[in-house]
Amino acid sequence: MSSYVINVATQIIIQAIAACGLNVIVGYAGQISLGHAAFVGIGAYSNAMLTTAAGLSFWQALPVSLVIVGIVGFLCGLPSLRVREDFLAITTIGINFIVVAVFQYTPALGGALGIGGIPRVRLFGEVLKGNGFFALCIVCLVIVMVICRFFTKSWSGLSCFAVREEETAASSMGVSPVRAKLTAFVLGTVMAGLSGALYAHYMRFINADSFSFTFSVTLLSIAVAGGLGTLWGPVVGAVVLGVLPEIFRPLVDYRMFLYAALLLMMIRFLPGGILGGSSVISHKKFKPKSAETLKEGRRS
Amino acid sequence: MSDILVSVKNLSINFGGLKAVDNVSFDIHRREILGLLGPNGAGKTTCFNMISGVYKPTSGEIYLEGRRTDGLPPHKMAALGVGRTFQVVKPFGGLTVEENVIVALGMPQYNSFFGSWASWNTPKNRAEAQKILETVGLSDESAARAGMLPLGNLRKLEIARALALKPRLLLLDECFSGLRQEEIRIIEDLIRGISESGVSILLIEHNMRVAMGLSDRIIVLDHGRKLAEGSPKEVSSNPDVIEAYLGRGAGADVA
Amino acid sequence: MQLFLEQILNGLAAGGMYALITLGLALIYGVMKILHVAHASVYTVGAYMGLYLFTLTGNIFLAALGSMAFCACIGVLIERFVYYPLLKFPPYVPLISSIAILIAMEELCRLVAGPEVRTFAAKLPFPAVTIGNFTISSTLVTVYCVSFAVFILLWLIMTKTELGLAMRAVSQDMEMASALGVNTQVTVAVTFIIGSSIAAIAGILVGIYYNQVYPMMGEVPAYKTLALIVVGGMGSASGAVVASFILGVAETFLIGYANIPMPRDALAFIAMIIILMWRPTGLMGKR
Repeated sequence: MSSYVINVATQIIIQAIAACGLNVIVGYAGQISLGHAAFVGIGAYSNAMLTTAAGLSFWQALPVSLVIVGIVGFLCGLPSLRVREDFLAITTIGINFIVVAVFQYTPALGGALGIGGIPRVRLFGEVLKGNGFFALCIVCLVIVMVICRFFTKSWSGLSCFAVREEETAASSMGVSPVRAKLTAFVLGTVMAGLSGALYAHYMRFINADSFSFTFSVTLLSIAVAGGLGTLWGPVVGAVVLGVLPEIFRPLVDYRMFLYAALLLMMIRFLPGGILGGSSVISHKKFKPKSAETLKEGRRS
Repeated sequence: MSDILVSVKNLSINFGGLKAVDNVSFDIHRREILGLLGPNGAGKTTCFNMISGVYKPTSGEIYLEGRRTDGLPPHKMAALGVGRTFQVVKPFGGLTVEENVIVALGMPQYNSFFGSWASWNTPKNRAEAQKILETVGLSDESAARAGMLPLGNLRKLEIARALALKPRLLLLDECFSGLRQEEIRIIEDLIRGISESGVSILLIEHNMRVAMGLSDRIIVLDHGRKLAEGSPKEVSSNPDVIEAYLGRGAGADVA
Repeated sequence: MQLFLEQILNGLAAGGMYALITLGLALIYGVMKILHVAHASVYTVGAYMGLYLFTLTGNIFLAALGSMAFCACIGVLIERFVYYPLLKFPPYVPLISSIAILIAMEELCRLVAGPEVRTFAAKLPFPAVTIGNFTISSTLVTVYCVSFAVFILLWLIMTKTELGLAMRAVSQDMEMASALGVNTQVTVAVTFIIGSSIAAIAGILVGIYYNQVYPMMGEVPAYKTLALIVVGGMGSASGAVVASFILGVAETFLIGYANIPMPRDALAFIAMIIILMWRPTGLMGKR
C-alpha cells in the first residue's frame, strides 16, 4: 500500500480509538464531553515526556500514561458530572481550553514549541513504522473495541445505559448515577489517552495546537456521524470523516468549507448517525448486529 | 420482630420558604397496604420522595426496621429494600422490557467492584426477569422496546422493575392514573397479590374507589400536614377530610 | 492614574461589546435552550456586511441597519432550517450543527472577502468627550452610547411589551406558554431576529473599535461567551450583561497590567469554574 494511504489510514485508526472512548461517555452513558481532545493530549504529552525526558520505552511509558490520564479524567469527572447537561457541555469545553493552555504555557512541557524527537516504537528490537505501526494501531483498536463490547455486557455498562435513559429511575433501582457516569468517563478518557500516546509516537512531534477544542468537535462529530451507542459507529465515523477531507484535498481552498457543510448536512439529516436509528441507509446489511445494538442500548 | 416496618417521625421539608411537608408522623406495618391520600399539593409525592431518598428532609426522621434512613440517596434505599414507581412513568425507553427489569435485578452488583464487571445477559437473569414479567402480565412484551409501550403496560413495567428489587416496602405513586377500567382491575389484583406475598405497600392514589378498596389503613394529608388517620370507613366519614377535598361548607352537608 | 482610568474605560468598552454578543446568545438560549455557537459567525458576517455597506454608501447608520437586517435573516434561516427540526434530538446534535455552521460561515467569509485583515475607518457621529485633562475618544463614546441604547431598548422590550412577556414566558416553560396562547414559533423567530441584529451591531462596533475585520474574528468571542452565559446564569440576560462587563474589565487589566501568560479563553473558563463553585446557578441564575 502506498505510504500516503497508510498515513491516512493510521490517522483514521488513531482517531477511531479516541472516538470509541468518547462513544463510551456520550453514547453509552449519555454524558456530553466537548473536551475529549484534552485527554488525548494528556496521553500524548505524558508518553512523550516519559519517552524523551525519562528515557522509558513506549511499552514502559504506556501504562503509566494511561494511569495518569485515568486519574486526571477521574478528577475532572468528579465535579463535572454532578452538574446539569448544559453546564456539562460548557465545563468540558472549559477543561479543553484550560488543559491546552497548560500545555502551551508550561515550559517543562515544551511551551509553545511542544515536544519533539519522540522515539519510534520498538517491538522485539524492530522499529515499527509504516505498515508495522499501522498494525500496532489496528491491534489497539481491536483491544479497545473488545473492551467496549465487554463493557456493554457488564452490569457496569447496563447501569450506564439505565442512567442515560432515565437517571432518576435508574437511581431508584440501585444504580448510583455518579458512579456509573464516572466509570464511563474514566474508561472513555483512558481510551483517549491511548489514542494520544499512539499519536505522539506516530507524529514524533506534538504541541498544544493538536489538541484544541476543534479536535474535540471533530471527535464528537465522528462519534455522532457513525452512530452513538453502537459498537462500530466510531470506526465508521472515523473512516467517513477521515476520508472526506482527503477527497476534498485537491480543492485546497474550499476544503474546510465543504467539510463543514457536509458535516452540517450529515447532522441535519442523519442525526442518529450512519449506524443509528434515524438513518436512511437500510439496516439489512447490519441485521445480525441490530439485535445486539438493541442490547447495547442504542439511542435513536 | 416488631410489627412496624417503617416509622416516619415529625417529617418536615422546606422548599425555599414553602413548607411542603409539615411535621408528619406515621408508621407502616408489615404486610399492610397503607393509602396516602389528600388533595393536590398536599405533599404526598414529597413524602414518597423523602422515604425513597430523592429528597433529604429538613427535619424529622425516617426509620426502616429500626435503622435510620432519612437522607440516604435513592440507590442506597433501593439496596435496603425500598422500591418505587413514578407518577410520570420513567421507562428505559431504548432498552427492551426484559432489559428494563434486569436493570433492577442487578441492584446487588452495582456497588460491588467485581460484581459490576460480571455479565448481565445470562439465562438465569433472563429467566428471573421473565418470571417477574409473568407476575405483572407483561411476558408477551418482553422483547419489545419499552419506549413503544402503551401507558397501561408501562405502569405494569414500573411495578415489575420495583418488584425485581425484592423489596420490603413498595411505594406506588398514582399507578392507576390514565388507565381503563379493565386495566385498573388487573393492577388492583396484582397489588393485592404483592401484599399477600409479604411486601408492605404505601400507595398514593386519586381514584377514591380504588384507594378505599385496596388500603388497609389510610392517612390523609392536607397542605403538608396530617389531617386524619384510620380505616377507610373512618377516614371517609371524617368531616375534616371531606372538607379538605370538597371545600369549606361541604363538610356539613355530607354524612 | 491616567493609565488606570484608561484601562477602566477600555475595559468597560470591551465589556459592552462582549455584552452585546452575549445578550443575543443568552436570549436565544433562554427561549430555545440551544447553545447557538454559530452566533459568533453571525457577528462576523455583521461586521463584514457593515463594512461593505459603509464603503458603498458612506453612511454608518445605513450600513448598520442594512447589516442588522441581513443578519436577522441569517439568524432566522438558521433557526428554521437547522435548529427547529433538530429540537427533538439530544442537545449535542444541534450543538454540532451550530459549530458546523460557525466553521462554514467563517470559511465563506474568507472565500468571499479574502483572508486579509480589513480596516474599518468610519466617521462616527459621536464627538469625543473631554473632562478636564482627560479625553474619551469618539470611538469609545460611540461604543458606550450604542451599547447603552441597546440595553435600554432591550430592557424596554422585555419588560414593557407583549413580545417581551412572551419571550420570558417561553424561556420559563415553552409548553406552558404555548398552552396559554403564546405563539412559540413566532416568539422564537423574533428572538433570533433580535439576537442576530444585536450581534451585527456588535460586529460593526468591534470592527470600528479595533479597526480590524477578518474572517476568524468570531473565534475570539465564540466560546468565551458560552462561559459568560453560564456565569450570568443560564438564560438570564441581565446576568450575561453583568458577566460580560466583569470579563471585559478583567481581561483588559490582566493583559494591560499584569503579564499573565494565559490565553484569554482559558481565563474566562477558569473564572467560570471558580464562580460556579461559589454559586452553582451562576450570578443571577434562578434554578
